[in-house]
Amino acid sequence: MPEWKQEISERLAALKLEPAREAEIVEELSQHLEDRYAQSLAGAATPEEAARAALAELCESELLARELRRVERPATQEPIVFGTNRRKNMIADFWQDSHYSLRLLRKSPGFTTAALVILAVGIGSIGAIFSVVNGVVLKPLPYSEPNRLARIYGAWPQGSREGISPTDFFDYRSQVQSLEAVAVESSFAPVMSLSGREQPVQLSARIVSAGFFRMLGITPLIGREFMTDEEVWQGPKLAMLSHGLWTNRFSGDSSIVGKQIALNDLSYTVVGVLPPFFDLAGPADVYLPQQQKLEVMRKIRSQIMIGRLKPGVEIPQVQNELNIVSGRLAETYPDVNKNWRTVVLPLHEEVVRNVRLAVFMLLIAVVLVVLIVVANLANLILAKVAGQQNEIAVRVALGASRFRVAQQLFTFTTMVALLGGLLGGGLAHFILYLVKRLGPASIPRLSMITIDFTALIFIFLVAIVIGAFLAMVPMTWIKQMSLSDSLKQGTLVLGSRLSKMQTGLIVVEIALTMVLAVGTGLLIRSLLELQKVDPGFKTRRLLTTRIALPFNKYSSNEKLAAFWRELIPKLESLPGVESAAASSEPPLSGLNNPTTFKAVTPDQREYGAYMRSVTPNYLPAMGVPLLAGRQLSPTDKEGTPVVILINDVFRRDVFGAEDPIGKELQFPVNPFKKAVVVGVVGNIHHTSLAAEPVREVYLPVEQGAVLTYSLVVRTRQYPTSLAPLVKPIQQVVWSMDSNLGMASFVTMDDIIQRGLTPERFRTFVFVLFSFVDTILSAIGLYGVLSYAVSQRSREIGVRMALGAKQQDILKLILKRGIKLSAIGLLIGAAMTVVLTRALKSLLFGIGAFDPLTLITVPALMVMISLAASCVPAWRASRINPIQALRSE
Amino acid sequence: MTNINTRIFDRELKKGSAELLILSLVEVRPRHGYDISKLIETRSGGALSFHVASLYPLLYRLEKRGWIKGQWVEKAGQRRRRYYKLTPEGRKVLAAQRSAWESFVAAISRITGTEHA
Repeated sequence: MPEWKQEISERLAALKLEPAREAEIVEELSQHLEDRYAQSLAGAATPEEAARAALAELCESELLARELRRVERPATQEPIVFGTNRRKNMIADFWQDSHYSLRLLRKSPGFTTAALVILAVGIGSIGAIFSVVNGVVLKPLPYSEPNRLARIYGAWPQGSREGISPTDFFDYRSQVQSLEAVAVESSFAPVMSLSGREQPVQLSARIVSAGFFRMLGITPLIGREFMTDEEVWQGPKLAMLSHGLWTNRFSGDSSIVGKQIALNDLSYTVVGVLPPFFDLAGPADVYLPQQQKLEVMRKIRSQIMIGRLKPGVEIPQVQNELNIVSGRLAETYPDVNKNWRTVVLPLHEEVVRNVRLAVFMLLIAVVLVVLIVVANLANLILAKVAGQQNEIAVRVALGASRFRVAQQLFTFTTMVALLGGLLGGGLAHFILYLVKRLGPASIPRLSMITIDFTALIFIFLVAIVIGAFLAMVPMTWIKQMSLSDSLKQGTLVLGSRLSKMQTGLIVVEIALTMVLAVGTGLLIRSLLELQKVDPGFKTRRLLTTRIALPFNKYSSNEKLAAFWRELIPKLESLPGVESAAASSEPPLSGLNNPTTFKAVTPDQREYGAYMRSVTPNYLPAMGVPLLAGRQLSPTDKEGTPVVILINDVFRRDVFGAEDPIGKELQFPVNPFKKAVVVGVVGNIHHTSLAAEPVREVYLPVEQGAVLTYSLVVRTRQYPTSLAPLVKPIQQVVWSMDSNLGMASFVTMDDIIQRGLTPERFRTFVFVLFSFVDTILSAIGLYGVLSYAVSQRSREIGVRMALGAKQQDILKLILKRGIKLSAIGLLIGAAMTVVLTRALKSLLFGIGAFDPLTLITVPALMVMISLAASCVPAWRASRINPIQALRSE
Repeated sequence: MTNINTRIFDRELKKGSAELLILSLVEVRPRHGYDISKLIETRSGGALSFHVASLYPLLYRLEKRGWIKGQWVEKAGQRRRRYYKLTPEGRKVLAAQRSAWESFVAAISRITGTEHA
């Protein structure tokens, strides 16, 4: 017997009937054919004849379809789930829903664009910030078993945090049992010159104790690290190379171990090469063993001590033991170690301590953005679903389970969220790139951060959660949906409660945006003010580098002074050089002696002041004006009375209206003890443009030299490229000492720009968030108004039918937009009053009530709100009253 | 009936009368499709026959107009079948069509048929 059903199905295929209806027809018709077949057989026909007779019933292939087409309606194009009893198949459902969702997205490009932009921006910023937080705070330190590492501080009773002296370290190392290993590295990295190969270069050298790297779990790439028997005063000169130095300067020479290198003109034996690693104290080029004269070093507490706990040992145990040892040391060396103790803390916590607050504040900002994203999208989706309420109600009325409808919505929102997540992942890369470029160098491990697998998983999860959350909003509505109400056309079913919620959300959003925008405005203004600050010297055409003279060669004040006395005229005779000078601490370079020197007036008043050792022509070369008296002169030398210049702040604070010239000041801690003021010079912003000038004293090199100076060279032309200027300067320096390394040359303009990095980064973060926020609020306002217009189209139609003009309608909707934003802005203004006070410490040159900002920002916000309201208002004014009324 | 013109005439005739035929057949009791087609064939002595391809679309159309109503009926030992019965509305239509047909046939035969003197 032929397959009747198949025969029939084939003929029906073109009709694209509703599957259930098609099945019914196939069943009925096949039964007919079967009856016919059976009858023919009973009438003594052969099976073949019977089959032929039955099939003849179907006639030509198109007839059935043609006839049926006139009666049966094809299934609607969208496979909407009617109340069929077909078996549930989760995967098939999912596929169907995904297709449905994609089609829905394609059909409404406006909604899709808005939703995806919101999501991409939201998820992108979360992804980037998560990566930063993960890289800086959450990720374990890149050492083996980092949770067993602890930082050990020295501390005075008032709770200060100090380093550990080399001498104390030896005592701790030999006495503490609960630590598997303990080691120190120097917190400072002295500058040394590496010479002997090509040109000499300046290196930063860090001093480490034996076993420092083993304790961290770092194995030298080749060679070994320092051993305890090498830690002796004037012991063998040994060095370990950093990976960077080894590859850049020694081209990865694998036979380097055992060879000699020249550091500060002394020969050092290379014992090992390190792999790239994260140095807590900051990167260094070369590592040297600690070989101090222990007897005199107990007071010099500058080393970073790190210990590795024995397995199973807890921090308090170590603390107890260290307390005992510290107590013993205090008894033995009461003059130095009385009340001295140590504090043990997990290393990881210590590394992130300084940034934790900043990072978590960033995180809070991100959470706010996410909340706004979700609120905004919820609004959009609510409006979208409201547009489909009829369709959904029909489906439910036809028997689709609410669960099935909810499932479909869930698939839809999840798909939107995932697509947004995909875009957000891409955007996160870009944001992270910006953060890395603009971020201050003080964030540890920032350069090592990438959007890694963990971050991608996180982004994915956030997208899913947002999708689920978004589905919940319309789902609660579906649960309570009243079918009869929804089926009555045009009835506003989304409760007034929901639209109130939408409105409230928008008002809050606008208020928050206003606060953030005002904050951003203030920061931008103060950044601009900051860039306008006169640093007190002429910054243009100024090149600087740092030169450290090695003590073994320049062991006296005269030797040091002679070097500079000879170098400066040589440099000034170079073509292209206008002037050259040197200062121990040039302004804005980040260099500043942490402690002030004490200056005592003849009438015994004491003042702190920063002291700079300078070449005599330093202040004229820098363009600092002389206000009174004379400049320093080459004739101020060892043997003549010590002279100083003071800045105007010093004069004002110390001498008031008195004439300071010729006054003698005592400097009890300096070797020269007393000095005569010969001149007053202008103030300089030394530490940063934002910081007020402080009391400064300038002392000639000849009468008080130090080892390290910054060379400043003012060129005749604006340096477009540094190389042609740098080279002759280096040649001159090397003609005097061929083994002297120099730090890389930078222009003062670059230094100033670099100094603004924290301000710029802060402003950037605020601009970013406030930009995102403004966009989101505008979209949100737009969404709410569009929704309102769609809901009120009948009312608008009636108004127009009754004679309202297009511009009346335009006004009607615009008014609503303005009302919403006005309420938001008012609330925002109230919040601003409170919150800008918190910003005050970050502001420069303007008060928290900067009129310019407080007028511009709200004005801008009103304009943006107007722009966001315009489209829906325009659309409302274009409503055709006849159509609007007829469609009801 | 090999002539083309005759065939077209035949089809138009059938179409015009088909509704009436079906309505009459389900007037007394519900019948299924095969039953209907067999009755038309046998009662017309083979002169009229409906194929599946034309019968069922017609049934569906009548059902859609609300003149007949189809219903799946299951009987013990048999597969379910769809039975069509006349609706009250269909009954009115049937009465109207029947009288129209009778007057039509009478008019036609008065012209074409043997003239009774």
